[in-house]
Amino acid sequence: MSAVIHESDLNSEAHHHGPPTGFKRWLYSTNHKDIGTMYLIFALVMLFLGGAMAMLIRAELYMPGLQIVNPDLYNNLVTDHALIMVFGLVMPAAAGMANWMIPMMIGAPDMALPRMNNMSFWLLPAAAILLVSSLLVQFIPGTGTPVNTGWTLYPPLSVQVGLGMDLLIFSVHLLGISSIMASINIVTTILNMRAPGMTMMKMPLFVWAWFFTGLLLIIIMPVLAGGVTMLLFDRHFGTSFFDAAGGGDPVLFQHLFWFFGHPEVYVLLLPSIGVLGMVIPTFSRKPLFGYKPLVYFMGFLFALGLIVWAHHQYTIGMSLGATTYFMIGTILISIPVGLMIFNFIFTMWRGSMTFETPMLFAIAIILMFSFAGVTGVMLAVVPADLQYHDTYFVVAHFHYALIPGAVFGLYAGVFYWLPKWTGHMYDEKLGKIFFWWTTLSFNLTFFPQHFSGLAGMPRRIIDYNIQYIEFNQISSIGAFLFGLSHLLFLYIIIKTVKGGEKAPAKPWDGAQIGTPGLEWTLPSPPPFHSFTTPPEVK
Amino acid sequence: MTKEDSTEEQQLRKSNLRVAIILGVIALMVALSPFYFLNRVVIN
Repeated sequence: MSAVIHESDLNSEAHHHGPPTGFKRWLYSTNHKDIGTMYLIFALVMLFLGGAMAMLIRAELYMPGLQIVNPDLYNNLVTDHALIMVFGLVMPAAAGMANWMIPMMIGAPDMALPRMNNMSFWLLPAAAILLVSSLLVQFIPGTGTPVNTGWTLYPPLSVQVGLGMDLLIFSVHLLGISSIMASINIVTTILNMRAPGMTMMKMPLFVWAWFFTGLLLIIIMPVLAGGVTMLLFDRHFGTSFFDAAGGGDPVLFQHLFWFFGHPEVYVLLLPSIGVLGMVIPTFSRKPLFGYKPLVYFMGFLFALGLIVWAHHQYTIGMSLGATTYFMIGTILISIPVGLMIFNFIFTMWRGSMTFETPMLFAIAIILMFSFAGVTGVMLAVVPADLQYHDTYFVVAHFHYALIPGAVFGLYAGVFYWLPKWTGHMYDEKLGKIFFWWTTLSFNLTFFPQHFSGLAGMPRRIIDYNIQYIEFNQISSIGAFLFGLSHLLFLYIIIKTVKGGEKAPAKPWDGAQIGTPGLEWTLPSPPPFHSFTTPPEVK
Repeated sequence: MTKEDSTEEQQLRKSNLRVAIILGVIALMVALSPFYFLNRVVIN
């Protein structure tokens, strides 16, 4: 399906100018690299916003009793922290990398639908404003209870809370539209815009990862949008979709939410798995072990991820048959994920490994994400889950899944591609300090939460019994150190953007091994229009 | 699409649009599915 644009076909007026100047370059941008940069900057801002909320939560939990915020505001912070980290940090950062890298990797001149690409991005700041407003509106008298539902937005509580919920619903609508448009664009680009000779099975793993991510988003985001729209109707238009008194069913919302929510985990994970598929062969100086099986495993993950959602709802009283099905399906997921991890380990086996910052993150991801996989299997088992449900054990599990699995993958990607994006090498020493700082403080924060959870500490509650003080204080100290490490991350990025050692076109000597993309054939930083002549892949 | 665009570029754009519309229609159908699901499972 790949199509070709020859240089002679291109409109010379439109394709041989430099970047526009001033704010118009960014506001009206249809350039995949500029839009990618905007996504990445947006994600960085959201990282600090969501991180500040996490700091407030951990400051409050340093001691039992009420210290800094009231219970409703606390639960609102928990809600917005999750939504900001998922929709504001991980998804935009992954979309930023996709925008930057996919056209360059597959040899396309730009994304398939550049104007839609612009719109996908610019919906995000609007959504973020609505999201932050949903937190701030509670300080205006008469606007009702804050959004204290948690990110799952379960009714009946979400039908009863104040104006903040409406703003949040509209924010979710915008985020959904933005994600769906970005996904349509990415999938279309991958299907239609590959350079001659770049067959699907020659694409870098990162492109495959985003192909499945895009398809997943197209299938799941509309369900969330539909669900929250029904919630909006229940709140304001007299319907009873989720109200048992009117013939509805609140559990239906849980099914709709988790039909979105569980595959969303893979939406967050897959781009990082794609980054691992680029980083590990590069620094092992060996082709990826089992490239084709890795693609198939991602396909299995895509398919299985869509049919196991109700393992988040074991406690609602489903039939034995349903719980057994969801339990078996969930445990099955460990097979493709475990095999992927074996593939990455075998890629490293007997390779000429070096340990630059992206590789350190890749190894840490394998170790810590596997740990999350183990606690995940524990949670998948119904009788055990009935004990762990809504405890800090779950909080520890999903932070181990999502911070190494998604966020560290993005850090690995940032350090791996920063020389390509900026034309400068980052400070390797500072990169390594950042790696050790984040990894150690992350474990200090979340490892103790397994124990407080197993001892019975409930999640999403501002106060706790004094028996959990030690674990919580260790967590809070770890969290502040973890938060602080990101100032160093920001410093490294600013320093690299401003200057430093010039990066060659191929900054990593192992970058061309295996199934690389065409990004390394371009200079660092790449020109404003990547490929004026379509590259040939042999 | 402008008059200056070559046939090949026009074809590529049409093809891009076709794929995007198919994916968009899938998204729209999925968005409506909760209402169908509700009708079948909850009310009946």
